[in-house]
Amino acid sequence: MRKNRKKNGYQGLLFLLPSLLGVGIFVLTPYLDVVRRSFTSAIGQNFTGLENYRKIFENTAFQLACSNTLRFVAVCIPLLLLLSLLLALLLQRLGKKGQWFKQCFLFPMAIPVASVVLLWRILFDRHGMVNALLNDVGFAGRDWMNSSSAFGVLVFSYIWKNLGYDIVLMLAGLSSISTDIYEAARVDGAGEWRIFHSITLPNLLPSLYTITVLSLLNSFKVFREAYLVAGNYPDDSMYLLQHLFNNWFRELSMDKMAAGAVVMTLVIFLVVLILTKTWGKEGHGDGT
Amino acid sequence: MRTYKKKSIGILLAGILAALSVTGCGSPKGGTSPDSAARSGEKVSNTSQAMGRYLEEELPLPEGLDEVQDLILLDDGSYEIAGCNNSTMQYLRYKMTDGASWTDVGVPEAINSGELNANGESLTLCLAPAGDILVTASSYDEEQGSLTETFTYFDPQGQKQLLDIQVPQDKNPGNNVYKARFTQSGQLFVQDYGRVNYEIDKATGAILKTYDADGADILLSAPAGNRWVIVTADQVLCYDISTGEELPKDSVLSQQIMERKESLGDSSGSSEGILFAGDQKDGLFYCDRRGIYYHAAGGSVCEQMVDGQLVSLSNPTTMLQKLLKSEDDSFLVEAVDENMVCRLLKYTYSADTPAVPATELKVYSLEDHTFLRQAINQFQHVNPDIYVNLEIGVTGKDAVTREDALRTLNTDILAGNGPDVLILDGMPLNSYIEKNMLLDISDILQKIRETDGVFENVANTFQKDEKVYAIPAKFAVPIIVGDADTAASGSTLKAFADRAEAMRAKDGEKNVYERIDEKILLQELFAADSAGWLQEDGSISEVELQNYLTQAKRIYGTNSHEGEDASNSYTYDTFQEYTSDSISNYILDTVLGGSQCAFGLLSSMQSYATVTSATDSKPDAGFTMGLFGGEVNSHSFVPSEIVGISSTTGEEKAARSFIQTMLSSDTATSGSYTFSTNKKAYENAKVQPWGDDEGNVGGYSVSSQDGTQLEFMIRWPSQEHMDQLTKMLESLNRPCINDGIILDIVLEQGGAYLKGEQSLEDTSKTILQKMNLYLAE
Repeated sequence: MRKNRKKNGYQGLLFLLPSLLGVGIFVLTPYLDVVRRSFTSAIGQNFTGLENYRKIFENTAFQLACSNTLRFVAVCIPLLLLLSLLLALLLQRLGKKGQWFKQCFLFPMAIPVASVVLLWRILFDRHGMVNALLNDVGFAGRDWMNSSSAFGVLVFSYIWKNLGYDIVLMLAGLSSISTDIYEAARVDGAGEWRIFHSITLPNLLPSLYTITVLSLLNSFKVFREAYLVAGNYPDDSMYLLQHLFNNWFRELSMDKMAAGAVVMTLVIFLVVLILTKTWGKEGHGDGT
Repeated sequence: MRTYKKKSIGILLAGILAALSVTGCGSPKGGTSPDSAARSGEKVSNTSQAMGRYLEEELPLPEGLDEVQDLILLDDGSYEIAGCNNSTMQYLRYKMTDGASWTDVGVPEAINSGELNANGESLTLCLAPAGDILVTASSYDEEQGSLTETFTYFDPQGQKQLLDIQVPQDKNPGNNVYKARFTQSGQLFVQDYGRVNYEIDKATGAILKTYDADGADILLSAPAGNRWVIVTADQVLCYDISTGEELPKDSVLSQQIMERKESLGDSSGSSEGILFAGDQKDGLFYCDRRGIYYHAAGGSVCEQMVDGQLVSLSNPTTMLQKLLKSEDDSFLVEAVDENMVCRLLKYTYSADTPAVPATELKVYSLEDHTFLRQAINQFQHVNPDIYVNLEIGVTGKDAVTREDALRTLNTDILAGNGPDVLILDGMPLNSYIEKNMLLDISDILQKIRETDGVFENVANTFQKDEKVYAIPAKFAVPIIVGDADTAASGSTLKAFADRAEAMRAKDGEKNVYERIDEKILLQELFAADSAGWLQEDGSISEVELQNYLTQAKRIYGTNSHEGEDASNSYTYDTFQEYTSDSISNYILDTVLGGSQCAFGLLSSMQSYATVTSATDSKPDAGFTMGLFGGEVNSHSFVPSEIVGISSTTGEEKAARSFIQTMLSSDTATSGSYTFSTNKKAYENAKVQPWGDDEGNVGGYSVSSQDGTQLEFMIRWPSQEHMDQLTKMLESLNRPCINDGIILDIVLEQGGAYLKGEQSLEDTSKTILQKMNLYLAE
């Protein structure tokens, strides 16, 4: 038996090996080079110790980008989780009748980035539809993308694009909870809130862990729309870490970029670790 | 057995997956020059040195021959050249048999006796391989507005005969013969103004055959051996000149020629764009700036014989005229340089010379520059053992933006494949200096200073801590042209805005300056004003920025913008356009009465000639010129062609030598006479390059707004004008902001403000926010 398990494990490793090699060569090795560059000068010729880390923490642009990114994540992730959970519960209640609504929520994911950008421009440009509507009802328009409203537009765009995806994941998590538990709870006289609080949420935690991590990673992709609409230097409210890294790359500030990337990796790693410890422990993140 | 089978399948599948995952590895090395990719055989590694290539040698022109009219290969294999001595107005003919010197063989007596040009006609000689000559005598009747041509044919024995050559007039009244040529077999062809070619009977002048490409638009045509080649807008047609029949279409040749759109675009009165020559085996040779190529009849490839990059052919100021191929497989190219002086370039194969020079020097520029290509050509000429590989970041032929190009460049630098020399226009120069990306080249500057002299304030623009990291080879200066009060008001933007409003109030009908859209206006004013924006801490001064925007709006408001269509508005697409001359375009509108003054960048002597001619043409109006923008007693300039050496270079010695060549007076003088940081080159550029003894160098004949024809003659600036210019250039001391990012931010927001779409506070706030974010990074 042990021998069989060893053989299966050996074969499994063989199948994993190409992928592992690929990740090792194209992801891990370059990342190690990034870590190395975070301790050297811009073109990697001189060792500078922690100087690059000191520079980035003193850099006002980095501070702004970090605060905007953290603010964005702190606003978007909880909002997205809450909305997707509520809508998933609703869709689960509707059953087959909710199928059409599910498609509608998934539709934004299929829209290419360029089309989304075009939509933004049509809606939020100085001469866009939103301003036209506001003018019609007697309000003054504003330059949405060059004012503090830009942050709201960014949040809206992120949630609109990713809501469907999270709803589907939530539905998968909800459907994995055995209906027997619900029946037993109802028989025992539990109310809706009690059922939700004591049965649905705890059983959903492993899925929530996965969804949160995925949503966190997806939050960085919103840079694409922001960059295409507002360019390298958008309004301060939507100046994210990716903007900074993109600009640093253009300016050959590889030292600062590497240091910033390492810091960002550590922060994300820490967040994922905390999530794993708190939510991921329950059923090891696989819904069981 | 079954387990063994499963294991084998498992291992096999794993192996396939592993193989598939590594097959996508490796990408072609990015960043090779499109021109270098045209070289046959691509790059050969230095470890296995291929030998043999064509070397260039310039043959001397015959003494006394000022204007070359024709050059041919005679039947006996020697070269024959004919033309005119402009001083004595004698027509001359020479022959070269030894490959080195010319022998005067004379022309038929009737040519120089005055018999053919008794009424002052100009004569053009056309030579045939057997020794016959066709002389075209042309005279232009100004009253009638018509050109009269007579054709005299001299056979090899010198017997003269008048030919009555008449080209069809039905489709094009007033059509005439544009030029005449003999083929290698002695047939006479003439080309009319529509570029249709006719084979002419040498006995009677009658048209024997017509080559009109079935009515297609002909770009150029030429004889090539026993073929007549016609290039239209979309294909290459070849005709057998013995029968007049069209030969089967050659798709390979067509494709190769059609790809040379830039060369086809060169076809004009003074250049052929692409030259053709034939060989005895029905093959075809063609020549353009990329080099000389051979295509065998029916072949599937076009082989590069001579790499244009390594010889003078790639010099953008060289205008190609004719290609001859000798029996010994050498080539002779007749070309004309920017001074309209003929050059004879001979290419001979040397089997002992490496096919590719052992040393490669990589030069990178975001945009293509004529001056840069000249410098490369000059450098290669003197250093044949070094191959200069020019890479252009933004070619305009694809969707690559300036930022994409910079990222690609930075990736190459980090990978250790970066260039040796950087042309830093439009690049984050200050960032490169901070990161020690550029070497100190103050020693090169010192050498130039000692030998030729420099405009110190321009040369030291990028000096930091006693070191010079980049040197602008050229510069431009914002000027204003108008009456004395207007020229004086150019000292500050506010003063000019006040003056512009006063001019508009006085003459409400006429625009103050030529109609340009808001972004172009902002660019011109940016060049004049931005020098004073940067504060000591590196941030942008809000006061200066608001002043700039306020005055720009006032100036914008003094012109009528009725009927302006935003979709048709023109903006500078490239950074090079932003730093190039603009005043010579705007001043014409002022001379024609369309506007009251003109302002823009002055960057060349030719442009200065236009400006001084304009001011001299309005003595009553008291037109004069002054520096524009900046502050009182402090004057702006726009540095361009900024060169530096990458600190990661592996060819430092060659790089330094290249920069020295680029900044030298010889290189800096040639070309379009742009203002050079090299003082000696600047002084050389003061010499009148062409025109007559009275100083006339050109002119314009245009219709004014009321339909009257206006002639505007351009005269070379007088010594007084030159002294005024020198004094002006020596007073320059403030470089404008040379950063494309800042310029883009200003234009994006400033344009909206000028059009009234947002307030001054919002505009300056947004600009400052973006700029300070950029500077904070």
